[in-house]
Amino acid sequence: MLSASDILTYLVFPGGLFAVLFGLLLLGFERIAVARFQGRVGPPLLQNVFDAFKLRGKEVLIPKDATNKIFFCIAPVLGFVGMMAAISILPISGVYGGTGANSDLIVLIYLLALPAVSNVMGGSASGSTYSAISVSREVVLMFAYEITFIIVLFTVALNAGAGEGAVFSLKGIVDYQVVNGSFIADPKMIPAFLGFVIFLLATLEVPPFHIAENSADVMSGYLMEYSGMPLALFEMTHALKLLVLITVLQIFFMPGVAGDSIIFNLFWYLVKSVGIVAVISLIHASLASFRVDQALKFLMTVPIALSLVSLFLVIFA
Amino acid sequence: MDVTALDGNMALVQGHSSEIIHLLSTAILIYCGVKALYHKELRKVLIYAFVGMVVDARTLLDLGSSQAVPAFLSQIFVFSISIGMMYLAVKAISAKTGSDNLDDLQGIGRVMPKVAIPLGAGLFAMMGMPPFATFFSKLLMVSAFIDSGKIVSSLIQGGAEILYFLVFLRVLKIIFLRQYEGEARTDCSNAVLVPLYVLLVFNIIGGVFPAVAIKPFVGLAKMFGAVSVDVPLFNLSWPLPVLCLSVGALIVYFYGRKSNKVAGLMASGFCVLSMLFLTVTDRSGVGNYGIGFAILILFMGALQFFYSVSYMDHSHKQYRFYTFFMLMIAGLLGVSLTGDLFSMFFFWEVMSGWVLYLALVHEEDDFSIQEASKYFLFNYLGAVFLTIGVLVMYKISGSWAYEGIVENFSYTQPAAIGIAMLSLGFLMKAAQLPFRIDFQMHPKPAPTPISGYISSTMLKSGPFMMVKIFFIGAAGYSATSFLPLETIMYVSAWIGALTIVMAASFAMLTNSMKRLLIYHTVSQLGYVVVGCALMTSFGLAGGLLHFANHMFFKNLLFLCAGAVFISTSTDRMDELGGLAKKMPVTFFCFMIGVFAISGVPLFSGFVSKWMIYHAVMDKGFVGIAVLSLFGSVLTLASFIKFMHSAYLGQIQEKVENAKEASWYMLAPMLILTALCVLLGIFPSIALVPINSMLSEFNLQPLSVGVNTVTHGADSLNMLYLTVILLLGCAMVVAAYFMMKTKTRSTHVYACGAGDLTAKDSHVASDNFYEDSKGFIKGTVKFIKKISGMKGGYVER
Repeated sequence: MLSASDILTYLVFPGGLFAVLFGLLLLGFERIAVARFQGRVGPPLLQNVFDAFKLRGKEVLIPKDATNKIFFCIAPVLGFVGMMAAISILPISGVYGGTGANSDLIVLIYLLALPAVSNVMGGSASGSTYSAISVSREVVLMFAYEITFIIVLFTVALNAGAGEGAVFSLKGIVDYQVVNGSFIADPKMIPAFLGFVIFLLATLEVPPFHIAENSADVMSGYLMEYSGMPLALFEMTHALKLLVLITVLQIFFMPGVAGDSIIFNLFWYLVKSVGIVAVISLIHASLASFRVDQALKFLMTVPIALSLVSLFLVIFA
Repeated sequence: MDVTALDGNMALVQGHSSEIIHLLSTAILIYCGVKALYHKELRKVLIYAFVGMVVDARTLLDLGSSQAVPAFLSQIFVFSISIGMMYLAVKAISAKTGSDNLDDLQGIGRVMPKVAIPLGAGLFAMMGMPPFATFFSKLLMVSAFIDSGKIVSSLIQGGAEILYFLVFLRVLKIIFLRQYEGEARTDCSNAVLVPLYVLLVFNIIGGVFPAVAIKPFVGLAKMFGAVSVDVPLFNLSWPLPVLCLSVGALIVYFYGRKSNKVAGLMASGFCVLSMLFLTVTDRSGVGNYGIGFAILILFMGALQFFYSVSYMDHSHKQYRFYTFFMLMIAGLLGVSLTGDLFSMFFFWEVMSGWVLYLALVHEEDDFSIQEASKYFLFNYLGAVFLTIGVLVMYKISGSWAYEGIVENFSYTQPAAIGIAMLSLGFLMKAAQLPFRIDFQMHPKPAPTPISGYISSTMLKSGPFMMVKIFFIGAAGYSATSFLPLETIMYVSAWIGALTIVMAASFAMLTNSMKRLLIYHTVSQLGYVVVGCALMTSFGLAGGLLHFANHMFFKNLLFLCAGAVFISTSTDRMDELGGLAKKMPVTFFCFMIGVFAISGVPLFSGFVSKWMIYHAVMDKGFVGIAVLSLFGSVLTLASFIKFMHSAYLGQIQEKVENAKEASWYMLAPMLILTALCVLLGIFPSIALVPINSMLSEFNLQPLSVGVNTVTHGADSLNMLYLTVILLLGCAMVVAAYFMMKTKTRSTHVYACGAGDLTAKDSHVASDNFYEDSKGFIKGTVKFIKKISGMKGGYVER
C-alpha cells in the first residue's frame, strides 16, 4: 500500500517538485538553445520558472461563451495529474527503481495520452473557434503518432524479453539493458530509436510538428482562452511531459549507469537529459513546420515504417 | 443377357433417375421460391411456398437413413398445419375485403388483428422459429442430414431456407407493418376464428413440448416399416426466472395498456422479481458463469425499463414494446441459464428471432422496417450455422447437456467443423468484422433503450457462448488433435483485433450519434473476443471483465445519446452543439462513459484492457496487441469528435430549447456512471466472481487483491494510482484557494469579428479530422479495390 516514502517520491523526488523544476529548467534551456542556434540571445534560463510563478497570481479570465465553465477549469488539472503520476512510476537507472505496482508500459501509454486529452477538453470547452480547430489538429496528430509509439513499445518489450515473451515492467527493461548493454547500441533497435525520436517531436509539438498550438495560424490554439493559474498548469504540464518523454527515451534506449553511486548516476541522468534536449532544440531551430496534412502523411509513413523494421528484426532475427 | 449385367443396368438407371429427381426437385424448389417471392396473390404465394418446402423436405427420402422418415413426416405435417392455418386466415380476410391481392391487403393486420394474428404466427412458424412446432421438425430434418454425414447438403438446405425466409418476411411486412389506407373494417366473427386458433394452439403446444411434436412421427415411421428409429431427444428446460419473465411479458401486454408508466415500472419490477428467482434455479451445467451473466442481464433490463418510462413517453403502444422486449430478455436469460445445448439454441432463437424483430420495428416507419429486416435476415443466417453446429455437437457426443458433451467429446473432422460453425455463428452474433454494419448490427432507428440493451447485453451472448464452446473443445483435447481448436481460436482472436480497428475507424467517419455508438460496440466486442479467444486464465479474466465493464459504459453512452435525442429530436451530430450548457448532468455521465470506454485510468475500461494486452503478449501475438492498442486511440479520437460537436462548442439552433432529461432517465444513467468509476478503482468487485468462473473452466485463478491485479512481475494497483491522481488534484485545488485568485468573465477572442453566428463559429463533426478521415477513406477504398469492389465508405 501507499507508504510515506511513496508520497515523498511523488511529491519531492523524482516526481513532484524536482520534476516540475527540472522540467521548467529544461524548457528554459531549450528556449535558450533554440535562440542561440538562430542567432538570438534568448530568455534567461529561469524564464519559465518565473513565468509559472508570475501566472500563479494573475487574474483568471473565463470566457462567457465557454459551454461548460467547470469543465473548462478542470481540464488543465487532468493533464497535470496524469504527468505527475507518470513521472513517479518511471524508474531512473541507478537512482530510483520506480514504484513496484503500476510501473508498466501499458499504464505509461495511457497516462501519456492524458495531456493531449486535457488540451483537447480545455480547448473544446473554451468555446473559441481557434481552439476547436486546434483540437481537431491535435487529435489528427495523435492518431498518427500513437501507432509509432505502440509499435516501438512492443519492440522494446520484446527485445528486453530476449526471445522469452515480452517484458512490460519498466524496471525490467532498465535492468535488462544495464546487464546486456543499451538498446541504442543494438543495430536492430536503431530504426525504432529514430521512430521514437520522431514520435517525441510530434507529441511535444516541436517543429516540424508545431501545428496544433501554432501561434501563427491558430493563435496558440487550445491555450488561447487560458490565463492565470490554469495557463501556469498547462505550462507545468508541458514541462513535465518533456521530462517524462526524455526519461522514457532513456528507459527505452539508453539507461546505462555511471557506476554504483547514486549521486553519479543522478548526475549522469541529468546530463543525458540536457543532451537530449540540446538535440531537440537543434531540430527545433533548423526545421520549419509541416502543414497538418503533410504531417499526417509523414507520420503515417516514415516513423511507422522505421519502427516496423525494428519490430520485424526483433521478432525474426 | 445375364443377370448381373441386368442388375448393373438397373442400378445405373436407378442412379440416374434419382439424380434426375434430385435435379428436378431443386429446380422446383428454386422456381417456387422465386415465384412466391414475386407473386401478388397471397393464396398463391402460400401454395407456392408450401409446394417448394415440401419438395425441399423430399430430399430427406434420398438419405434412406432411419431419421429421415420421421423427419420427413413431421415436416409435412407441421407445414400442413401452418400453411393450412394461414390459408384459412387469408380466406377469412379476403372474404371480408374481397381480394387477396397483396396490394389491397397493405396493413390489413392492423385493422383486423384477431384474424391476422394466426397468419403472422404462421409466417414465423414457417421461418422455423420457436415456439412453433416447425422449429423442432426443422431441427429433425437437419439432424437427419448430419446423421448421414452430409454437412454440405445441410448448408445448401440452409440457403434454400433463406429464400423462403425472404418470402415470408415480405408478406409479413406488407400485412402488418405497412400503414393501412382503406375504409374502416371490423374483425371477423368468432365462428371463423375458432379453427384458426385451434390450429395455432396445436402449433404452439408442439413448439413448447418437443416430445409431442416428434414422438408420433417416430411411431408412424415404424408403421411404415422403419426398423429402428433413432431421433435426437429434445428436452426443453424452462428455468424459473425465464418462466417468470415470460409470464411477466404477457401480464404487461394485457395489463400495461393503461399507461406507459405502469407498463414500464411493471416490466422493471418483473426483472427484479426474476432476479430473486435466480437464487432457487437449478445450477447444474450453468455454474457461476451463467448465473453471473443472468444477474447482469436482469439488472440491465431493470435499468432499461426504468429509463423507458420517460423515454417511451412520446411513443405509441408502449405495452407492446415492453412485451417483446421482455420476451427477448427472457430468451437471453434462457441462453445463460440452461445447461444443455438444445435449450440454449431454443432460447437463442427466441432472443434473436421474431420477438427481437417486432421490438425493433416498434416505430413502424419505413427506415425502421428496412433496417430491422436486414438485421433479422442476418440473424437468420447466423442461426443456420448454429443449427448445423449444434446438431454436429450432438451427433459426435450423443448428449445435449454441456457436461455430457464434454465427457464424450473426441476430436474428429466433423467435430472441428462443428466447433468452427458454432464459433462462426457466435462471432456473427457479436457482429465481428463490420463489413455491412446495417446487416450485422441492430438497427439505428430502433428505440434507444432496446438499442442500448442489445449493444451492451444481448450481443454478449456471442462471446458468452463462444467461451463455453471453446472450453468444451479444450476438454476433449489430446496432444495430437489440439490443432484445429488452436487454429479456430487464433483466427477468432485475429478477427477480434481487426474488428477493433475497423469498427473504430468507421466510427471516426460517421456523423450519427447512434451509429457511432454502434460501431464502438462492435469495436469493444472485439476486445472481449480477443481476450476470451486466448483461453488463458489471464486472457479470459480480462475478456470477461471487459464483458462486464462494456455493459455498463456502453449502455451509459446509449442512454446519454437517448436523452439527447429526446430533447433535441435529432441524431445527427453536426446539427448539435453546446449541449453541455443545457444538459450538464447528461454531459457529466457522458464524459465518464467516454473516459471508461477509451481506457483512461481510474475508469473501468482501463483495467480490463490492461489485462487483455498482457494476456495477448503472453501468447506472443504482437500484431493483435498493436492493433488492439491502436483501437484505443481511435476510440478516444472519435469520442472527442462526439464530445466537441454535440456537447461543447456553440449552442446550435436545435439545442436552444433542449432540457435536462427527467429523473427516470437520469437515475439509471447515474447508477451506471457510479459503476464505471467503482469498477475502475476496485476491479475486484468483478474479478472475484470471475475467479470462481475460471475454476469452473479448469483454469488457474488469478491473484486478485481488493484493488490490485497481479500478473507475473507486473501488478496494477488501482487505489494507489487513484490516490496519486487525486493527490495531484488536491494540490491544485489547495493552491487555487490559497491564491484567492480573482476571476473575470470575458468573451472569447474572435480576431475582432463581431457578426459571427453560432453556426459560423461552431466546428461541427463534419469538419473534424479531415485528414485522418481522408486517410481512413483512402484505406477503405484501397481495400475495396483489391477485393474487387467499387467506391469507398458509405454511411448507411
